[in-house]
Amino acid sequence: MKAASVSNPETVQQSKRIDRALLVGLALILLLAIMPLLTEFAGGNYVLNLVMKAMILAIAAISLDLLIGYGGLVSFGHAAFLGLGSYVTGIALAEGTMGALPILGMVVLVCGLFALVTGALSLRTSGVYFIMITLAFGQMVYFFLTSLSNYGGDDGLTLWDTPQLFGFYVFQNGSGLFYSILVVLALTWLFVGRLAQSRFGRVLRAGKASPVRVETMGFDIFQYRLIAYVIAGVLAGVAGFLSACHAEFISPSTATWQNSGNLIIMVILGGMGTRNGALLGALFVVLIEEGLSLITHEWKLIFGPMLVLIVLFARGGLAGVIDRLGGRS
Amino acid sequence: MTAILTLEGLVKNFGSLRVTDNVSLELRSNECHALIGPNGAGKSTLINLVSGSLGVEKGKVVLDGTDISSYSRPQRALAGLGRTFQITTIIPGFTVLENAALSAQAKDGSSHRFFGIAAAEEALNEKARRALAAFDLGHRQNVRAGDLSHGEHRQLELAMAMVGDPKVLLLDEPMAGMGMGEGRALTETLLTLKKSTPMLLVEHDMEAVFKLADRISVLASGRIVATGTPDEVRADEDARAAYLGSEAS
Repeated sequence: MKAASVSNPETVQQSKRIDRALLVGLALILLLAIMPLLTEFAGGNYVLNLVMKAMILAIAAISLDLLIGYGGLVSFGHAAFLGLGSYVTGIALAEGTMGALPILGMVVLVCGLFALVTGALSLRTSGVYFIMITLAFGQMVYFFLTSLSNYGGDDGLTLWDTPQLFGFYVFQNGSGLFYSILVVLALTWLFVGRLAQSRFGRVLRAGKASPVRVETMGFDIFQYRLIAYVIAGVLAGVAGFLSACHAEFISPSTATWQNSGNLIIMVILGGMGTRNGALLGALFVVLIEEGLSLITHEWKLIFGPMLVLIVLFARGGLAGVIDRLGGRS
Repeated sequence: MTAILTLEGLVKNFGSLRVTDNVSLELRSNECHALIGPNGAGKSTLINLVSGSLGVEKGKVVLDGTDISSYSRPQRALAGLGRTFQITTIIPGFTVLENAALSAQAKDGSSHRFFGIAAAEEALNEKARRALAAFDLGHRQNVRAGDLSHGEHRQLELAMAMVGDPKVLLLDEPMAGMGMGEGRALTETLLTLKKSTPMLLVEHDMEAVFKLADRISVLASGRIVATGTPDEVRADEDARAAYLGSEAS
């Protein structure tokens, strides 16, 4: 395969835009990588914990963007996978399974299977019906988790241990956990970015614009969407695993519809279907929420209008704003 | 000439309304077979039954000797049915080249490839460029498809249908919304195209129909009331009563 011709001015512009997005994403990840050093000077563990929380949610948001931004599938139950991932981790630890790899294997299996079954049903619908059915599955998981009385029920469960990787406690709070989360985030960001540009991603993106056209070409769009749904579910499940390690606590509230709504806000605010949108959205929402709550108890009165203004005036979300700023330079 | 596409006794009901009533017809190799009739006659429904957009209730669709009645829409496309729509369907956010390349991708092995940049696959791009050049869109390949004119949308849709070398082309009102000049240019393109690809054409523009069609079937209330060469159909009393009226004279 040879590289595509880039002699045309419009192709050159598009290629520059992609390169710029790649650079912005890499710069963000680099900035995150030096956060433990920066927080030595200001904020300390409090800020570092906040950044870890934002990075975990960024993994889930990037996975959701695969559905919303690239596939046009607005899932309102994505937090269910976060909940499942964290509960599989918590239950495995509570039952004496300490190895991170077997636990991650179980997370992938449970979240993948749940996504396969619920996706196969949900993806037979579209539009508002898809939103409603994913919401219903999400709530189903939430109520299931609250019913696990052996594992804390409504109150959740404190984890007294963290998984081990080859005998090391790399997932214990501290720099080991921070860099584990960062590595998973960077890999997720790279993987979803590459996936969107691949043959598979091209069909998925085309199906967002016109499923009828895509089927008329010979692609079974249902298959592509189902695979994307399973990939997104598994990635969010891995975020749930990291969330359990970070919080050292699992709670059904992780799987609530409010959390699913937050993930959607992160994706829309950051910029749907862009390389860095979900990453920016997650960091922005978590950090601004926390920053505002330090200033006033009524922080939602400021945060709400801020979201409305960004959605109304920042076309393409935060990633779009950065892209336009970069385009001017 | 042998039949490349055969419809045998197709039936379709929308609730209690029979929209396709025991329709049988043959499309022969290197032939343009036009379907004409008043609005609501069931022409687009018939195209949808053939392409798999609608399920057949009774009857058979046979393509090149294979019964494809139970095939899904994507399976029919892969079996060799290309189509255009009454309302153009393209991917507006993709470039013109990427629209055509995606169509080439459908016929080029598995698309369940999760790595590699699809837009950089020169083999697909080359196929797409050839099809675009044939429809006079070569110079527009890097333009966003949504920014094309209506006429160019039609050309792109045809190019996309032709990239995969279909055995049969289903054209649902390709002239709709076109100006006189654009319509005539498209008619000339289709005249060239029909030498290599048999086509089933639904069209209201009678000038284009009589210029393009080797045979015409007249549909009224879901039934074929006349089939024949353009001259035979012009002379047919049922056809004139059902649709042509004074236009045929």
